[in-house]
This record gives sequence, C-alpha cells and structure tokens, in this order.
Amino acid sequence: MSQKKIFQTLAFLFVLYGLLYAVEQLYKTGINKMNDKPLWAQHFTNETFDFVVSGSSRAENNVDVNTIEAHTGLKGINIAYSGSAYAENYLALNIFFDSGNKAKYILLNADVWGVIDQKKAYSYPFHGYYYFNQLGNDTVDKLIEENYGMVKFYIWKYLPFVKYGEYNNIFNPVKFYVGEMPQPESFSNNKGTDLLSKTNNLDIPELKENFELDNYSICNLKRIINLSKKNNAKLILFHSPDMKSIRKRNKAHNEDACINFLSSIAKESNVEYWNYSSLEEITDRTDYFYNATHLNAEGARVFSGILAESLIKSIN
Amino acid sequence: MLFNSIDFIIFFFVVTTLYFILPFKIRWFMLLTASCIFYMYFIPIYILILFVTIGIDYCMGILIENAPAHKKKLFLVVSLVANIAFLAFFKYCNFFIDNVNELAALLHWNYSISALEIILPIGLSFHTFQAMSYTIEVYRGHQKAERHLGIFALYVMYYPQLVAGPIERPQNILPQLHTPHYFNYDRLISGLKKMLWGFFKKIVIADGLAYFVNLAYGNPENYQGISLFVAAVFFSFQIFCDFSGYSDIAIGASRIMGIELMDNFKHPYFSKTISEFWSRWHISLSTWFRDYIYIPLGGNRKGKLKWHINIFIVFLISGFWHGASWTFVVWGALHGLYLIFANITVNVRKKIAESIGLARFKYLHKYLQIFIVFILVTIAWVFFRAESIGQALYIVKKIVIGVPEYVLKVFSDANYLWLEPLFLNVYMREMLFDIIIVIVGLIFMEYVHYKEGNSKVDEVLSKKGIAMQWSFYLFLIGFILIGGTFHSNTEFIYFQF
Repeated sequence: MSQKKIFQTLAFLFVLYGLLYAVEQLYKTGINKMNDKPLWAQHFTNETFDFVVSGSSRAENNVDVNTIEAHTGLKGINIAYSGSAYAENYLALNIFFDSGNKAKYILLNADVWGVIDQKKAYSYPFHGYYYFNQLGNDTVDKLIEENYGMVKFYIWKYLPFVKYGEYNNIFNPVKFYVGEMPQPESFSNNKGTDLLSKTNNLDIPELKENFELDNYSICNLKRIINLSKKNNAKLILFHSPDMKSIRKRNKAHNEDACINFLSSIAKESNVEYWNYSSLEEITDRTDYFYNATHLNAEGARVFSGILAESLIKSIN
Repeated sequence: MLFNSIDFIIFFFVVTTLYFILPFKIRWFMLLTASCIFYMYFIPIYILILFVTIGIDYCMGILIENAPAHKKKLFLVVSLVANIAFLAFFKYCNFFIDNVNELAALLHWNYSISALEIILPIGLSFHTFQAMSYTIEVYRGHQKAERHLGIFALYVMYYPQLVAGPIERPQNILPQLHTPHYFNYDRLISGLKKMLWGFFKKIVIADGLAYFVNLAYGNPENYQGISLFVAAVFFSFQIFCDFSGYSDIAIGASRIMGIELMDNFKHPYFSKTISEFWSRWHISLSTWFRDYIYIPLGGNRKGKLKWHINIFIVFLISGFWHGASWTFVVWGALHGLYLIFANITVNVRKKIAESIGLARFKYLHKYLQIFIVFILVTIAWVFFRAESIGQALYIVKKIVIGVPEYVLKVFSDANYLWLEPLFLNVYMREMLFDIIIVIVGLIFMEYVHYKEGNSKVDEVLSKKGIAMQWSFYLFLIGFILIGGTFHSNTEFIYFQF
C-alpha cells in the first residue's frame, strides 16, 4: 500500500471525524431546546428545594407537587418520568445534585415494579440516550456501560455524533428547530407532575410470571439510598395506591416477598417506607384511577394530600 | 445476524481481519465457522438442515461425477428430491394443509388437519437453490465435483450471501474459494464503498419507507385511493432498496476478501419492457430459473404457444418460490401474463407508437415506457405485499377509483388539503423529519442511478476529483447517521424467502 493511499485514508478519516464532531456540537445546542421530561429535569442548576419526587410514572402521575406545597408550604419538584427504573432514577438524582441543586427530602416511589428485573417491569427501562450530553460524568458513564454494554459505551463516548445518529428518532434537526410535539403543560405549570385525565382503562392485565427480586434493581436502590445520605437528603420510600382489584393479582404473584424486602431494606438503611398500596380511601374508588396502577388528576390530588400530611408528621 | 446491526459490524471486522491474518490453508475453516455463527444468530438448531443438505449434495456431486452415464440422472434426482423435500416441508407444508382444510370446508367434509408448528428456516430458498445449482452443474459436466467437504460447505454457507443471495453458481464461487487472496487496499475501499451504498439504501430509504407502507397495508380501509397508490409506489422502492441494499452489502463484504459475487440488480426501475425488468431485477434468481427450468422446458424453441406456456410456468414457480401464499403465485402469474402480452403485442405497439408519432420523440417514448413498466410492476407488488388476494384486489380497486378522484379534487377544490393524503394523513409535524429524509433519500438515490448509467457509482466517481468523491461518501455517512432507521423492526424482506 503506497504512502499516498495511507495519507488519503487518514485524511478522509480526519475530515469525517471533524465533521461528525461539528455536527455533534450543533446537536448539543439543539438538544438544549428540547423539552422531554428527562432533559427538562436536567435544566435545574443551583436551586434549593424542600423535596424532590423521583421514580417512574407512578411518581410522575400520582404525586402532585402543587398539592403538597399547598398543604405543607414546602417547595418541591417532580423529576420522575414514565418508564424509568431505579438505575435511571439514580442517574437523574445524581445529575440533580451534581448540578448544585439541594433537597431536604427525596420521595422515591417504591413498589414491586422497582425491585424486579427492570426489563420485565418496563418496556424500555433505561433511557440512557437522554444522558448522552452528560457523558464524561463518572456516574453517567458507569450506568450507560452497565445498561448498554462496553462496546456501545466506548463507541458512543469516543466516536462523535454516532450516538445521536443511533437515536435519531429522538434527536433530529426538525425536533430542534421546527418543534417537538407540545409537551404536557404539567412540566412547567405543575412542577414536573403530569396529571392524567379521567379514567382510561381499568382492565387488569394478566401476569405471566411471579415477581422475583432482582440484584441489579436492588443495587440501584441501594445506590439511591447512599446518594441521599451523601447529599444530606432524607430518603422516603412510598408505595402509591393500587386499584383494589389489582392487589389480588399481585398478591397471587409473590408481591409480599418484594414488599417485605422493601420494608426490611428501609429498616436496615434507616429510611422511612410509607406503604399506601392498600389505602382504602383511594384503592376502593375506581373514579380516582386512570388505570389500575395510575391515579388520575383527582386521585393524585387526594393521594398527594395524604402524602403531605405524612410529610408534615415526619418533619415534626 | 442482521447486516444492519452493530453485531454484524463487529463480526465483519473480526472475520475480515482474521481472514487476512490466518494462513490460506485454514481460512476456509475460519470462514465456515464464521458462517455457522452468522446463521445460528437466527434459529441455531436449523443449522442441522444445512448440514444434512450439504452432506447429501456433497456425496451426490461425487457420485454423479463417478457414475456411468445412465446412472448420473439417478443421483441428480436424489439430490434434487432431498433439497426440494426440505423446502416443501418447511416452506409449503402448512400452505398445503391450509388449502386442503379450506377445500374440505368448501365441500362440507368434516375433515381438518392441524397446521404444523414450524418456523421457516431463514434464507432456506436461497441456499437450497444454490446447492441445487451445484449438483445440476456437475451433472451437466460444467463443474467438477468438489472433493473438499469444507470448501463445498462454504460454497453453500458463505456468510455474505447465505440468507438472501445472490444465488451463486459453483463455477463462480468454488474456484475463488480455492484461490488465495491477499489484502488489497483498492479492493478494501471499493468493498467498503459498495457496503456503504447498500447501508444507505436499506437503513435510510427502505426502512424509512417501511413505516408508511406498513400503515397503509395494515389498515387499507382507513386510506383514500391516492394514499394507497403512494403506499404501493413506496413499497416498490422499499423492496428494491431493501433487497438490492442487502446484495450490495453482501457483494461489498465479499469483495474485500477477494471473492467477487455476481451483480443482482441493475437499475430495474429504468427498464423499458417487462423482459428488460427481469434482466435487471434479482438477476441471480432470474438466471437460475432461465438456466434450470425455462431452457430445459424448451424455452422459445418449440413454437409460440409452448414458449408462452413456458414463460407462464416459470413465473408461477418464481411466485411460489417467493412464498407459500396465493398472493405470491398471483404476483408471479401477473408477471408471466405481462411478458406474454408484451410478446404478443410487440409489433402492434410498435405500429401504434409510429402512427401517433411517438417514435419520433425518443426521450418521451423512452420515459413513457419506463413509466408504464414501473406502474405494471407496482401493481404486481401490491399482490406481493398484501396479506391476501382479497386485500390486494381491494387496494387495486381503491387505487383505480381513488387516483382520478384525487386529481379532479385537486383541480376543482382550491381549499382541498392535497398534501396530507400523499403522506397517508400522518401527523405532518410529528413525521416531518421522516418524510423529508425518505423523499430526499429517494431523489438522491435515483439521481445517482441516473448518473451511473451502465457503470457503477464508484467507477463514475473515480473519474471525478477527490473532493467530489469525499463529499459523496461523507454525505452518505451523514445521511445514514442523521436519517437512518435504527429503532424499529428492520429485518430484510427477503429473509422470509
């Protein structure tokens, strides 16, 4: 192979690298304009809150920050979002604190779905692509490598733009500059809470297998516990109410073992665990539910009122 | 393993590197092992089918060569029957059972056979046909029987073309597998360019169009005729980009290792006649049918009627080869009828073109021919893609009524929102990016095809300056990354055959 050809190849790769790097920088500017919930949650810097709500959709939809604020006079924010498991909650909380934010309390939803295999609990449990702009942060790197594997992690970290290309269904120029679908108003008006409209579908989906504790999910719960201690935030695990009819199904599938585990880990770690799964004033009212596991706006307000009372008791 | 996956990129890099590092003596073993791994990514146990057919065809090849003339045919028949038996069992058994059941129900017989719970081995029709071409060629004396079992197994299993062709002939591949190939920079670049073009066609265009096509064919009753027409046109391009994209990646990957595979597509949608279309579309299959079915049936040598019957038989078989469903049979039959009609009317059409003066306008005539062939092929693709013949007929009927209706409405109603139906009434703001990508991608691809003429894109570009070449390939890489589809079910359509 002649020297000229080697030079040409290297020059081509150099130009390619430079172009991809430039496009990545453009994308990063564009991503700042996006309003997807995980990105919205990353926008806060150096703010002080009394409480921060974290978890999956059962925290995003069920905990109304405005109601808690009205009951307690505390200032809060809900950074929970749909489909996120503990690995992702840990990452979101980590970035929240790394960005200079402070919170006295972390309200983390803790139920059976959190401690089983995240791939069985959620269809897409780890939205790591929302943290691409944070690659280089040790925690982000670690979690992305754990969840996507070493090969993808190194490609994404060291080859410019490839990661945004792979997720061009999420990140693309039209979304940056023409505008994404309008986001739920709740992000800005409701301080992160996404209140759901009335009842949608109260059917109970069939479960094919029993709930089984999963080491990786537990490991991430423990990480959140340690993170809260490190940042002097009091962690409170709460179990949102489920519709009464779903309790039967869950119990028949080994839910008790998971709940017992959550109680014991809370005790061990000196963390409070508020279990509202069978709170009759909500679980008996189907009109409070959007579906069997998510409250609608009315239900969320009632539940958040109860949560607020517990929070006041805990503070006192 | 899918070509459009990160696993393949790693696999390809490792296999190609090993290929050049290892001594020639053991390369066949490495390639065979790699091909097994490649195949076993789908349903591992089905590799046994390949082993059995390889074993049978290997033995029959030697037996055919050594047998006295009167016994050669017997061994050929054994080989063909064995190959066809696997194909028949895995691909056509449930089709046969379904039809018997339907017939029984029609005749009010209280009789029903349960369908077998089998999954079609991926690429079965491709490697079966490739294996069959070997024993036929040995029988005909065009190819010596391969003594090296490993090399023969590699001929059937060679990973770049194992699951979706091109369906190679032993005369092309076997000598290349016996020849040592050394690393060649120009071949590497040429192969990578070919692969890049294939990835562009598959990931950007085919997978981008798939979204719209799936919408329309999923619920055709929800769409106007014009939307179904657009979906039909989109499918014509989707299947071309999907399949020719696969072939380009296969040819490119193989070229890097010094093994040249045959061309499978030559701008088929620029064909002026249906017969030209078939000399440009899935060439390896068309020539297989020509050499092993059409010519042995007598081709065009036994009078017009027999000629047309032969054409029809070949296209019926071709349709059936594609899938065990009546929709594929109708698709094949339609192409057969197109060809017969074209043969019968060749002189009449010529006279008409001359009498109306069209023959004088060469370009207009040429593009009109290309347009008509494209429309005919697109109508046939409706049957190929539809879930059932009923659905295909429904779509065709809706297109025939709906397209003129749409045109009339556009010209008569100034307030008519004419753009939405052209994109299947998707939420334009949400889908704008995907729409821009597929449209720009399609225009770009067809422009390149037009510029290519009878050459290849890299040959055309090599005559231009380095800036032009680099811009082209940088643009392709950027286009793939910015607009490629990476997050939906993106299997190649032809895998199912």
